[in-house]
Parts: sequence; C-alpha cells; structure tokens
Amino acid sequence: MRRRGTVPDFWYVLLTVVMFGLLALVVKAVEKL
Amino acid sequence: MSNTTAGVIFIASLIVALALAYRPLGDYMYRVVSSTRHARVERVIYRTIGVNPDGEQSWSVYARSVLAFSAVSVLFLYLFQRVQGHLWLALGFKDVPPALSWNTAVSFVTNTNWQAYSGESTMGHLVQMSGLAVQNFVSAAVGIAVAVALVRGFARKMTNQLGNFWVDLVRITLRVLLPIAVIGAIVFIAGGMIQNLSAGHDVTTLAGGTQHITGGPVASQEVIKELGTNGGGFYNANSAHPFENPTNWTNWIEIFLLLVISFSLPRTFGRMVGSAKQGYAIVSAMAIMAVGSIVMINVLQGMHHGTVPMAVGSATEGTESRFGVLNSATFASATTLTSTGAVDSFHDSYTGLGGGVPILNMMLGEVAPGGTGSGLYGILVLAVMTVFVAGLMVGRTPEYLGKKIGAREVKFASLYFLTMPTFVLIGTGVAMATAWGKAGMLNSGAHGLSEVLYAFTSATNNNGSAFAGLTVNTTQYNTALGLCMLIGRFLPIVFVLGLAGSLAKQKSVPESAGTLRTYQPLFVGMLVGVTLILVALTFLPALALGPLAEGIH
Repeated sequence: MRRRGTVPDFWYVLLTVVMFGLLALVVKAVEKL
Repeated sequence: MSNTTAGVIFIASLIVALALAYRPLGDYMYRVVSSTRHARVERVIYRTIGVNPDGEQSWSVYARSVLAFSAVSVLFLYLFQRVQGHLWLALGFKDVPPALSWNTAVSFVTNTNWQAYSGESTMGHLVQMSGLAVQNFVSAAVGIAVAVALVRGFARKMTNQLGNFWVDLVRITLRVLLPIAVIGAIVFIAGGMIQNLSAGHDVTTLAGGTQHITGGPVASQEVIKELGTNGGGFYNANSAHPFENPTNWTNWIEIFLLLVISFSLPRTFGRMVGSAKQGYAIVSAMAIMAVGSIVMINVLQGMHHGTVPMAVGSATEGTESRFGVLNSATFASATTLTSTGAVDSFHDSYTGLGGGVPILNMMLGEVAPGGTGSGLYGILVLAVMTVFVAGLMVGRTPEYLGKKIGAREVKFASLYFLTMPTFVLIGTGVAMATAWGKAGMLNSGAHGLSEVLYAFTSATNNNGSAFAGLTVNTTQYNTALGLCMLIGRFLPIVFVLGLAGSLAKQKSVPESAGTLRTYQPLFVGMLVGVTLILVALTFLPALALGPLAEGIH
C-alpha cells in the first residue's frame, strides 16, 4: 500500500528540480544576453 | 523618563553602536574575503567536498554553484522534515506535511524564514538545530558571497574570474557568522534566554490549570536568526516570547545584530574597490532611508491614531508590554528594512499608516540596509540605475567605479529591479482573484488586502515577517508563497552575477572632469531619490488600496 504523502512528495521534489533547472537555463540565456 | 525619551535614546544608542562597528567589522570581513590563506579546518572541508580552493570561477560557474548548493539544501531540508517523526529529539511530533515541509525548506534556504507553522508545536529539536539553524548560517553566507562577487566585478578588470563560491561560503560561515553567533548566544543566555534539549515541563498555573512550558536550544538559534537576517522564530510568538527575547536589553541587542552586518558591508565594499569614500556614500544612503523609516513608524504609532489607542493613550494592541509601543515600532522597522522578518509585536495590529511602513520598507527591495549581502548587492544595482539616469540627464556615457554602464549592464539592472514587483503584484492579484486566496483572509476591505499584499511582499523579498490575519498553512498558499520566495531570491542573484561578470570583463576607465563623483552628497541624494521614486511608481496603486486607504479613512 502506498504511504500517505508519497504522491505530494513526488510533486514537490519534481517542482524543486524543475524550478532550479529553469534557473540554470536562465543562467545559460543570460550568458548570451 | 518619558516613553518618548526612552524611545529616542533606544534609537540613538543603536545608531552609535552601529557606527562604532562599521569600520572594525567591515575591515574584518574585507580581510576574510580577500585573504589567500586557508585555515586547516577549511582545507578539510574543501577536500571533503572535492573543491580546489585556489581555483576561481566565472560568473556563470559561480551562479551554478549557488543554485546547485541551494537545490540540494531545499531537497535535504524537505526530506528532513518529512521523516522528522522517526528521528531523535522529535518530541513526539509527527512528520511535517508535504506542502508545509516544502514551504519551510524553500523559506529557510532562501533566507526568508517565512513560517506557516508554530515552531513549538511542529518542529522537533533536531530539525530546529540541524536543519533550520544550519540554513540560517549558510543562507546568510550565500547572500554575502554573492555581494562579494559583485564587488569583485567592480574591483577587477579584464577578467572573467569572480572568486570561488565554495571558499566564500565556507569562510563567511566559519570566520564571520559562527564566532559572532557563539559570543552572542552566550550573551543571550546571560540575559535569560533558554538553551537546553528539554522536551519541556507541565506546570500548574495559579488558576489551577496545566500549562506546558517548552524547552529547547533557543539562544543558539536566536542569535543567528538576527545576525543572518533570517527571522525564523523558535516559538510562534517569535521575539515577543520571553524565552526568545527576555528583556529590553536583549531586545536592543537583537535589533543591533540584525542590522550590524548589512550596515558594515559597505565598508568591506569600499575597501575592495580601493575607496573607503564609496563605502561611506552607500552606507549614508542606507542610513538616510533607515532613519527616515524608523522615525516615520515611531511617529505614526505614537500619534494615537484610532478610537481605542486614543482611549488608552497609545497604540498598544499587539505590542509586548515589556518593550513598549515605540521600541516595538523600531524593531518592526528594523526587521523589514533588512530581510530579517523576526517580530516582537504584531504588525497586523499597527495603526493603518503605521502598518504600511513595514510594507513600504520591504517594497524598497530591502536595501536600507537590507539582508546580509542582498542589501549591498541590491543598493549597488540601484547605484548602477542612478548613474544611468544621471548619464541620461547630462548626455554622457554613465560610469560607476571606473566601469562604463552600457546597454548590457542596464539590462541586468532592469531585470533585477523588475523581478520583485512582478511576483509581488501578480501573486497578490492571483490570491485576490481566487477562492483559495480569499478563503485565507480573516479581514475584508483595505485591511484584508494589506494582509495578502504583505504576505507576497514578504515572501518575494525574502523577508519572512507576517502581517498575521491570513491563514497561510494551506497547500495553495504554501506553494504560491514558496514559489515567490524561490524566484524572488535566485532570479535576482542570477542577474547580479551576470552584471558582475559583465563588469569584471571591462577595463577600468580613469576618472575625468566629467565623471560623476559617486562619493559626494549629491550622488547619495540621487540614489535615495531614485530608490524612492522607483518604488513609489511601482507600488503606489497597491499601497493606496491597502494601508493608505485604511489609514486615511
């Protein structure tokens, strides 16, 4: 049985990774500014 | 002695103490970030994390290092809270729920320390000590490191090297924050602050009921809470709690600590760019805005605005009687002029216009003097905007500290400045337009808007103080405010480091007869003017609908 909170955990970890990934892309974009 | 006299002496003594600390602390931080020698313990840390301390980084590598360190910190702190119930010293508390864990993790890593929870009923001692307090140190160090990298951009020429983020992070933590925090914690314990690992005691009250008196490592967390302009309280009442702020003199020290690094960093800046006068100009601009704000909030809180304050002789609601109305107002101003967010009174209870001052302080971008490091890099970006405006007025290419301010530099400064208002105003607008946003409001009308506006201003500026009167421990608010904290911290940092890289590549332009003297009073006045005008143009409509409407009513 899936532990309570596992699904939100996945989404919040994903959100963190996506947000920092986007910030890393901003660094790349700013390099070309 | 009258309350007014005591309040004036309180403020005057703070100004004198900060002025006395300016040179020694600023010079010490200059030596820390400029030294080429590494301490033995630092070498051990570098070996452990696989860093070559003598290698320098370009701006983009420096930025990626900041982002990588912060991403790992968020994920670690999130996990730490999610498994809290299974850890030592959990005090019987359960795992922190996902949305609250994420909000708290982002909050402490971004130096915001917004708290949608009550510390004494949610967090065990281990999470407080090894999770939250550790982030209090390193998030403050990250801010100072980024400011130092920007100053290197001004100070260096024809290079793409801005220093080494890992070296800056370790040195600032070990050589600046930790020693002051140890001494400060001992002083606080002497003042009556608690420092133990007790789960607390149940005592019988005079009325015959039972009250749980909590224990914990409060002093060690309290000192870095103020010194690192973090603000996250051990207790829900924050610095209004007697264990977290026992006396009026600990209240004075707390305000001093939350201002001292940010007010001393301009000295470090002046030493690094080779002109102490430049540091005096920046600190003067910070001080003019800070003193103006403190006087304004003291006057507005002391004017007995409203029916009840008129009846009782003072706006005492929401203030801690041990500190009084005026010293509480000074704390409120200091905590929002920096990115601290600690409170020793409840801003929601302030007079309509008095409550508007903390919001205005945060909307300044927290540059007077601002957060540890973030205040310095914020006002330096505004200085770049100021010389650009001055250059337009006289028709000359703007220069600052021997560097030409061209289109690329102005783009970075503009992007930096636009980030904060964009997310404050869009966040507030979304909350006011949605059912979940309005459901959290405990007040309607202008005061209700002020509560929502305050929350998004506090989160995006990484302040962390709350106006109160808003139920924010919901999935939607935790996520929305968490996103504002994350973007409000790191997007400006990317632009600041981009600006630093752009400046470092330039050669230095010698000063000529037409160069704007950026160390003279004229420039200080222009810098203050540009800051206030930019904020007024951006936020006046929102302020008019919230605190101004309530205060004038």
